[in-house]
Amino acid sequence: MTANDRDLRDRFAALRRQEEAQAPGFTARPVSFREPLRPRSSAALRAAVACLLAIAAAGLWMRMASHRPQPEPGKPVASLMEWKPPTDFLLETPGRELLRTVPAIGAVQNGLIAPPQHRRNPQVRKPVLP
Amino acid sequence: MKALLKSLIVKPIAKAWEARRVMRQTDLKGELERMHTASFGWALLCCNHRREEAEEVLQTTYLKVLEEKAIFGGESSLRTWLFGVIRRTAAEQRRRRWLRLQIFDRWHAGLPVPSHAPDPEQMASMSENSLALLQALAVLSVRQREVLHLVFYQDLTIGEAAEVLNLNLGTARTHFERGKRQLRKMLDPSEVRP
Repeated sequence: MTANDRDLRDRFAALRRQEEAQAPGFTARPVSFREPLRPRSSAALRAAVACLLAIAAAGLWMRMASHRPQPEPGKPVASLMEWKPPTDFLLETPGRELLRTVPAIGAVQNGLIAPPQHRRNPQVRKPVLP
Repeated sequence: MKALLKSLIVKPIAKAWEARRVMRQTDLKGELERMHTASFGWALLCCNHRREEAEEVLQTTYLKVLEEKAIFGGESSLRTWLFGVIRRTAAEQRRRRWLRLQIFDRWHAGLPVPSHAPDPEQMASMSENSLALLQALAVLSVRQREVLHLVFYQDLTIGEAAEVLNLNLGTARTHFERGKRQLRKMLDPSEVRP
């Protein structure tokens, strides 16, 4: 160590003495040394989560039950087979029967004439010159 | 049978383990108390001599150690390990504060920006020599400042300082030499030798 190093060391030592005098006490700060936390039991955590989930599920079920439409007393409950949606009429479009049935060839349907049946490879005869 | 096994084997082992843990913590607490003032000095340097921040960093570090979030593996001395934890904790807090400022920038727009200057109260109680030293240290690079502090203030060897800072010995030595030269130049320009 050189003389200059010793000088620096002395300066740092003086600084250390001054800072040490200002240091907060180790035991004077209760917050800094609270007892270490006990590790949380995973079983207790799981139970708490399960309880919360059960409460949430029960709440949801009760909410759904309160909003469900109740059948009127005295009125028979319609079976699923008989039920028709209220927007069913929208599917009844004009000309729907054309899509449901197979058209007969050559028949007139709704003012439309089916095209005549041609042979598969019609040969056009050339006119004979005199 | 299962209950018998539990009472005969599992419970005594758990008790012994807990007792060992408590004893270890008591020892650790004693060691931390012994090194408290030195740790505070190091925390002050890591926080640019802002006292409140240094106290917060030190408190967080102690909690980390006592709650076994930071575990001493015995690869180095307890002191160098603790100083490393303090340094990392200070860096974490600095990053967190910076992020908070970035996120809540709009809300902070009207408020005064927190100062990064050293604590004026603390500076007022310092002697002239110490103030000059602190000012000179503030000009150095962070690494040079840290190495010089660890060697001159904390009386560690350069090797131990390198361990704390997670540096190679050669790198630490270079920082030490360059820092020392600059510090001399600033503190006493007439004494500078080539």
